[in-house]
Amino acid sequence: MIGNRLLRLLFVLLGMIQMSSVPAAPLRPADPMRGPDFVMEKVATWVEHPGADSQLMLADGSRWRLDTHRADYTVQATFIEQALKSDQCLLVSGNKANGIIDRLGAVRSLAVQQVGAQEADGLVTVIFHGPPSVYRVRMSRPGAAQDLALLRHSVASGAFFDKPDLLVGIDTRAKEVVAVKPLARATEAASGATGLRQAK
Amino acid sequence: MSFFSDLWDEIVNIFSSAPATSPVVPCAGCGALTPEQAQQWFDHFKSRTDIPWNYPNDCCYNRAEVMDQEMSAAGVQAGKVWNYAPDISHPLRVDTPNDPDGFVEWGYHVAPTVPVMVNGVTTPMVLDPSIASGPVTPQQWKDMQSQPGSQLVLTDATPYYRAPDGRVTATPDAAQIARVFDQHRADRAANWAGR
Repeated sequence: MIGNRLLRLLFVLLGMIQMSSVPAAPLRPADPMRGPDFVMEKVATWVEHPGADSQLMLADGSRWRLDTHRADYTVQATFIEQALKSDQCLLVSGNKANGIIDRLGAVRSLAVQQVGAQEADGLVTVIFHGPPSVYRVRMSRPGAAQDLALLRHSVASGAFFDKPDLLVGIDTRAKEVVAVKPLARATEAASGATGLRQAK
Repeated sequence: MSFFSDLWDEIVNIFSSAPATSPVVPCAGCGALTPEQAQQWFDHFKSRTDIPWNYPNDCCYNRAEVMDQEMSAAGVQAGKVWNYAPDISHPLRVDTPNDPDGFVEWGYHVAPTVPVMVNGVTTPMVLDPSIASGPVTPQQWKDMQSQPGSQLVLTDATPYYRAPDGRVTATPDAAQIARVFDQHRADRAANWAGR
């Protein structure tokens, strides 16, 4: 009985020594989204090709590819799976011209609580109802002026956490708003999406 | 088989931070917890791997909700404390290794409270494993957010989200709460590159 317990303890201690001898590799911050295009649409089809680029088609007909060899492939693919599962739009940061995906993200239905004044560095601060973090709009980004107008309109409209009026794409790494759409228009545009997932 | 199953139990017993028994034993007659019970609840929540404690950028309203639901179901008179930045130019700020920039800035923050009896006096204590290492007073919790001009508001457990102007949102269903956690786990993973 005592020998059995000692054996177990020895087993655990050996395991601890073994684990402590393997240094934990530190994570490093991901790069911010590079764009240059930021698209928010529902997923039409998603076809995974082991060993090759996986193919993503959005409801607007745009076609994208995700390199299966990239280190964060699983992390990025999670956003597609979640968008399909919840029948929500997906945020794609990438290059429309060649279809290469830079980063993916979730699209949120939000209402704006407050918009700040433009700062000297060309950033405008935004606080939403719900998400606590302070986000910023980089005014040098193409389309930022239109996005800012939508954000300001949301504040004035009385939209709230449970009655959002915008679809918002956020680069959570850079803490920047990268895409904004009125919720009603986005819903109509995406009504034809099939949300079909395929795997090969 | 039995050896490995016994071994596993042994390992779980040695390393588990969960309390050996339910920490839900409210002080008889007063509804308050002892400091030890509050710490047990704190440890219990911190050990819940379904709650993304390592994503301080978002999720506080979801975390506060699930903690309050569990404590309320166990008979604890849980509430919530909200801390609001004075304005958009003066956000709350917390240094954290869980953000790639080393800090987060918030327009507001929320966490659950429990009544704790200390020296015969019942005081609300905040349980917030996302930024604290144990139960703290609302003032200590506010001070951790580095904004002297911020405003503290204590409420019952009801509001899922409360705006600075007092408007509140009712709690969504369990599936939606789970989806929010899933989304924030994905956001957290995307903010950090591979090893």
